[in-house]
Amino acid sequence: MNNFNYERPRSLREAVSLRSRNAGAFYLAGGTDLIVQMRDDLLKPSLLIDLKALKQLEGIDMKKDVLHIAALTKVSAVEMDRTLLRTLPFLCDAAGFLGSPLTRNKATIGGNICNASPAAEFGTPLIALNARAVISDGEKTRVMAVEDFMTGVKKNALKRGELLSGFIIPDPKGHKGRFFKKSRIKLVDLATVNITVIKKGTEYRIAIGSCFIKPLRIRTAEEMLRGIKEPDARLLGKAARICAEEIKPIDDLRGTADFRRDIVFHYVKKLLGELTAKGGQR
Amino acid sequence: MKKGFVHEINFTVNGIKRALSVHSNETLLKVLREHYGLTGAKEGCGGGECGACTVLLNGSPVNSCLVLAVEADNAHILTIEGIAAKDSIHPIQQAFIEYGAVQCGFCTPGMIMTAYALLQKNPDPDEAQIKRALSGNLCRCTGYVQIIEAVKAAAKRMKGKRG
Repeated sequence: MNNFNYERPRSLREAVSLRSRNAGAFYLAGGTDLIVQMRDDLLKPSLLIDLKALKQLEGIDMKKDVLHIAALTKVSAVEMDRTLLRTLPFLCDAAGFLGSPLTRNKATIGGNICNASPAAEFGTPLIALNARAVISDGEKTRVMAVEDFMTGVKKNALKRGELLSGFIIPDPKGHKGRFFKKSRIKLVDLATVNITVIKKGTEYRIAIGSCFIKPLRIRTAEEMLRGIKEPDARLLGKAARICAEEIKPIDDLRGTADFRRDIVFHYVKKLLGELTAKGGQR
Repeated sequence: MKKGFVHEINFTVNGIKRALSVHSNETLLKVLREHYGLTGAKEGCGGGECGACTVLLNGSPVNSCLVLAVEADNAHILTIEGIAAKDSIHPIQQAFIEYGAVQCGFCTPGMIMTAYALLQKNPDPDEAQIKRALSGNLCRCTGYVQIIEAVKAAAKRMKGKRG
């Protein structure tokens, strides 16, 4: 690992100012992706801006039916948060599939999204929840859909003088959802495919990860189901087929494109079935 | 803390306050092993996959190969060398010996630190919880059965002691 400058700013303004003044600077959140890449000499930052002292960027808070999750909230905190376990348990499930418990004690939800892997565990649940990314330049904030924030493999929409401060999930109540991750081994592996499906009233949302340059919503399939209280198996099969057709997976070491399409077809159908059948709680 | 490549850090290691000058690119694991001779934590993969380097950082088990030493400024670190009372071994260590949960021993300090953190939080875990907690600690010798049995036995004994 190359040597580099290291700073631990005390304010958000100082953090973004350091970033805008240093072209080779990286923010350090949990570091479970960043430091691996640095150890392998894939990244050689000139400066690491450790965000650890910015305690305002940590925590989960429900205010007036809007859920706020700050960017530096640890993955293990999301996994075990009581409010989330009650309202959005599938988000906790996604957290529980990220790496190992040792990783989850250090990794952060904001880091997972900024790192912008197509397989990011929080990608599909957040985009299915219509979550918004809150971006700060130290003074003003702007807000954009997480779906647009992740722009491609390892790419996000942050400009140089900006920082992801957290996520907003509007109206989090009343979602039934499922998170599913297919990987070569059960735990501690990157996803071959991950899927989040949500039913809110008669609105359906389907998000698929690891099958394109970023997690994807399949809106054609969602629209087909909209307004239908109890879609039958034939309709669910049709929606799942659309998902399998619209994704653009590749062959890689975690599975072939064909395998991914099969997994998407079978599991979208199964997961939607679980949400619509009687007793399909969670 | 200074800016730049070299930093003065203050932290607590196994209950002892320490001050040290570190480079930005040194890992916590390296500092523990090379500056303090705490060689229980091992570097296995160096990429956060194997858990052989597990130590507790402010009470939570983490891969110390992915923690920068400079990040540990003001932190509390606990390593395998710090869990036992003087002149004895910890009940988890005792159980690992009795149940044959140690073969080559490379993963053992990490396993025990993760088990230690688990039992602090949840004194009475079931088998599924033990397996899940240890899922980031790989062992290539034992096949895990003895390790899980040892953690169960340790939990029972520690509970008995607490009364």
